[in-house]
Amino acid sequence: MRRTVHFFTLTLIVGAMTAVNVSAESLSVTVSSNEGKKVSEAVVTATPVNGVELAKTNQQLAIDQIDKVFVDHVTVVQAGTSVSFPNRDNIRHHVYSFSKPKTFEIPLYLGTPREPTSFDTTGAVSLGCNIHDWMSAYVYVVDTPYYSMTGKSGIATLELPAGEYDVVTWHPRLRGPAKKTTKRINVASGKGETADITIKLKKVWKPRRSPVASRSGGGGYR
Amino acid sequence: MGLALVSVFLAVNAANLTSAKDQIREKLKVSHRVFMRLIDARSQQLAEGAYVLSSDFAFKRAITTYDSQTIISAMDNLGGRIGADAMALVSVDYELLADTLKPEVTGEDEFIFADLIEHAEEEGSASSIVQMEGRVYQMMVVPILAPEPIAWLCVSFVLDQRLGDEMKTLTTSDISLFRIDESGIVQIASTLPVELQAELVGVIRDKTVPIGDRSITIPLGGMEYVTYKTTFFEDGVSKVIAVLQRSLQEGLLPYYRLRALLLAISAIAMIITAIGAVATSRSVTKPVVTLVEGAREIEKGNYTHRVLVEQKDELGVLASSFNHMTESLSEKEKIRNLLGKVMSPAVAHELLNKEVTLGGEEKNMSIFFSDVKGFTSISEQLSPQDLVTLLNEYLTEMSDLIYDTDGVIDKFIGDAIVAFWGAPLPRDDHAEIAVRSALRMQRKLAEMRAVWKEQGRHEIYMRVGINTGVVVVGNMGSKERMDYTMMGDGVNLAARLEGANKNYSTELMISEFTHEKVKDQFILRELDCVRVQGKKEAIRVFEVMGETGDDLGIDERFLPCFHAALGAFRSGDFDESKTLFQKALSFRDGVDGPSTLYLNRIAELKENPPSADWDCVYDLAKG
Ligand SMILES: [Cu+2]
Repeated sequence: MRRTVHFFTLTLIVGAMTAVNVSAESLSVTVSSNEGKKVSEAVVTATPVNGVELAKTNQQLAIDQIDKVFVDHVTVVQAGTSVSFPNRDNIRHHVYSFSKPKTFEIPLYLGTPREPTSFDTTGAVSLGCNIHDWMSAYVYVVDTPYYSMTGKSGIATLELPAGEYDVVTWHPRLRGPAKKTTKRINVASGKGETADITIKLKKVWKPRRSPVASRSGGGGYR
Repeated sequence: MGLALVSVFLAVNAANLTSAKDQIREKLKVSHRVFMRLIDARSQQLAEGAYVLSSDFAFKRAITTYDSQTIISAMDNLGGRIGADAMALVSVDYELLADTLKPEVTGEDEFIFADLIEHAEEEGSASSIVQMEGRVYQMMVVPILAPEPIAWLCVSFVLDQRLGDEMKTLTTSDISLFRIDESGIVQIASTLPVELQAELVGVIRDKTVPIGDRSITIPLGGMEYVTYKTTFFEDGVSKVIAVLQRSLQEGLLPYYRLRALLLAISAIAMIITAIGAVATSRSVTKPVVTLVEGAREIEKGNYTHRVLVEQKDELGVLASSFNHMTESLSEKEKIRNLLGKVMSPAVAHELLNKEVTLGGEEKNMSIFFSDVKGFTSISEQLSPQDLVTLLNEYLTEMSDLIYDTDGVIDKFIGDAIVAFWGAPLPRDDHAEIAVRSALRMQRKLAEMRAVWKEQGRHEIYMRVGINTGVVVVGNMGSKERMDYTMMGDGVNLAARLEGANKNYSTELMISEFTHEKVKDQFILRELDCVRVQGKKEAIRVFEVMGETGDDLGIDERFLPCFHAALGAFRSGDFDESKTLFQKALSFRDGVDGPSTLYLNRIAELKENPPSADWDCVYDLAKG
């Protein structure tokens, strides 16, 4: 899938991160399901145990809708991030969330809504579209700059300064609260660290894309 | 003379009694099928209703207020739309958020049917029969998707007398519904007279009376009832049973009348004999002998025999009763022959209400042929006993699926099944139903293979050919022994298609005539253009891959790629075609019979280029 996250203030963030990571270590986490399969799209976050004050962010991201799907299925943001929802189709979408950390609705709109949506509370936000039942995406709001997402290999690599961290893993199909996956990991200076984390996944029943659209196989209905 | 009369009386009496009882049992069986269908249809209707409610966006908004009074009032409003009797909303953590039956609940209590939610988490929805506040409900559980489940909506419909009465009107048998759990038996509804209801509960409680899925006769209120029990819902905790009944006395009324008449006539005849009135002896002896002969014929099973007594006296009446009885016996025999082939009640009804005469009519139908892949080699590897068991398991499941959709099984030929849709009940969608049934059969067989594999037994694969067209169908044979069957070119083509699957390594092939009728409902791939031996015109054949909207687990680029490859092949562009077929093959990890077949053809054609009049039509080898 094509990633179209736009870093409007990219330089600013990179600048802030390099200031902290004078000597960055790497923490490599392998996430598996309890059936022993490697899990992709799992978000791994690390929060320093000694409660270092973390800088607030004014990051801005975009989650596009193209061909009646959200282009990014899972997007991790730091609390305080604003996300816009540009609609690249020539029909309207109606983006909503009923999740506790952020309940909002952008009723039937074309183009990019004027006001981006700000995500201030940590937790998982499940996004849908009221008129296209199969459209689904997640915004996972965290309060640390140290996070990464696993790829097909099930491995997420975090760059962070040496120290002790609480490592939390989340996945859209995670069974139970993310807090329960917490693992305390000490990242020693100069060596880096690896960790294996096993999570329980649940079945999630989702509406299927309507057959009319899938039959035309990508052409002619946008 | 006296002996002769007694023998007539006994023969007629026994035959009549059996016939009457059989008829009652047969009616009860039909009632049972009708009942099960109604229950199925109702469940489906309830599930659809529940789904519509759960996708109401305004309702999702109401849920996120997390205010139970608002939610209850929204649920009352929604429930009214589909006539639900109770609704509850349960959180993903199994907490009862709101319940129209318990408005005081505010979201702390655990939902008591947590296992139902667990089931719905696994399957996407759940249905059960539960008891709440002393009443019994059918409960459907569906997710509120936003777009993942944010809560579970439980929609309940009360099971009560109204349902029982409705069922009785439709099945014409008495129906009693009970819910049974460890705390005892609760009667949900009963159409029996009130004074008999308690008695029936007693009989069910008494475990020594074996009411089961074979009908038995039980006494109720001094009458005999033929009784048939069926369990239509069961979980670990409770079950709901339906008891279907017909009064034997009512059913036997005509028989008792006849018996009384017989007794009277016999008595009179005896008296007359005793007096030895010579004058009457001729007019009595001869008809009585005729009747004795008739009784013997029936004993031999010859139901077509009729006695000829033209007197207008009591013996004449007796003779005509006798003829009526044999008529009803032969009718029953006829029913049995037909029911053996067509189990679907609707089809049986159609056949029974028509005069059964020899002769066929032309009808547009869909014809189905199936056989077992590599049956000969399977039969060589198994003992005859194992082979019969395997085959019976297979044929039973497959024929049930055919009956379920009003299909008619024409015959079994060893491992092969010949069936058709569209007759005797005419229906426009026979092609669609035939193809859908075939898909269901393939799916069912896959499930069976999984079980066989686990048991370490042989796994069976099935090949199916379906054609649609006008063929002759009707009762064919002799007057004594006729079959409801079909014949015509269209039948032969279906058989050929079934065999042709071998060449393409496919399992479900249809002709262009069937394709024309079903192309919107199924995912189809064009396989080839073929010519049947002895025919001039070429026919396009297709593979049915699934139902439209099915997830086949195949790369979605595969089908367009295959069809493009086929187009290139037919236009003679073999290089382009080869590239496309190889690409199509790669989408299926190198396993696709038709693509491989075409690649072989291309290699051959490159070796021996085709003549100018090449029409890319291939001869269909004999199956
Ligand atoms: Cu949309």
